[in-house]
Amino acid sequence: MKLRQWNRIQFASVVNRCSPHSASVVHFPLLFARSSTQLSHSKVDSFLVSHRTSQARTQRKAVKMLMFSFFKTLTDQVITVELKNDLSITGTLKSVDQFLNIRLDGISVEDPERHPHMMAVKNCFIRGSVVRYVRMPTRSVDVNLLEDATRREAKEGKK
Amino acid sequence: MSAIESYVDHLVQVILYDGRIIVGKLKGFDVRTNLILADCVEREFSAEQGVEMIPLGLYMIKGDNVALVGEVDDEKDSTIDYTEIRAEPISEIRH
Repeated sequence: MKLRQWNRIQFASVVNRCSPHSASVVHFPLLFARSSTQLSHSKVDSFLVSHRTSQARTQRKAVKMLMFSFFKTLTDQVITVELKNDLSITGTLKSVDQFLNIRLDGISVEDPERHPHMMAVKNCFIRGSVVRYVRMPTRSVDVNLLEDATRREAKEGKK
Repeated sequence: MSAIESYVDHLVQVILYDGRIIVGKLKGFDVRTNLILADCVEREFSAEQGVEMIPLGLYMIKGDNVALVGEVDDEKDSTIDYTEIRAEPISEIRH
């Protein structure tokens, strides 16, 4: 793409990041079998506590906070993030924020021959809006806890 | 957003929604990922020729277009011969 095409970009109006997009739905295909929980009790408790306090907010915000709380428990795990431009990046989850922006350390690209663009990059910040999938190891997730929390959210939503 | 804060005054590589790659020194950012890059260069990859470096100067990139901000390892970057690299440009973001 040549420099003159730069002028043709239409900067979209600033999107209100607090409301969920209807067009871009974040999918998390967690393909794993049930496994015994590897989470330490302190992590489990803090996840529940931070999540229950966030339930005091509006329904929509509570749903978003569930995923945020979930990712906070995953910090220091090795995950693979697949972006909407088909780029797949593996790295250690360092931090996540309310928009589900992801900070990864020690990254490596899935197919380095097709994507040599990132050879000199060791850490990166990925905008939440471009994430298509997040792949994580089975053992790092307590499925039961997540299911219970999700069911609670669904009930809150229906009321 | 302390995640990006650590990149300020470092060389960063930004991948935009349309697949472009911009490398520059991060001078500022905000909550919406709007970025200020000083002395930035667009790295245009192609399958036939080597990487073309297009100097841009001081740019403000609107956060809506930002896909990824990566911290460039200066040492590693200087050892890479970009004229030898042949690669398809990164595809654009499709929802």
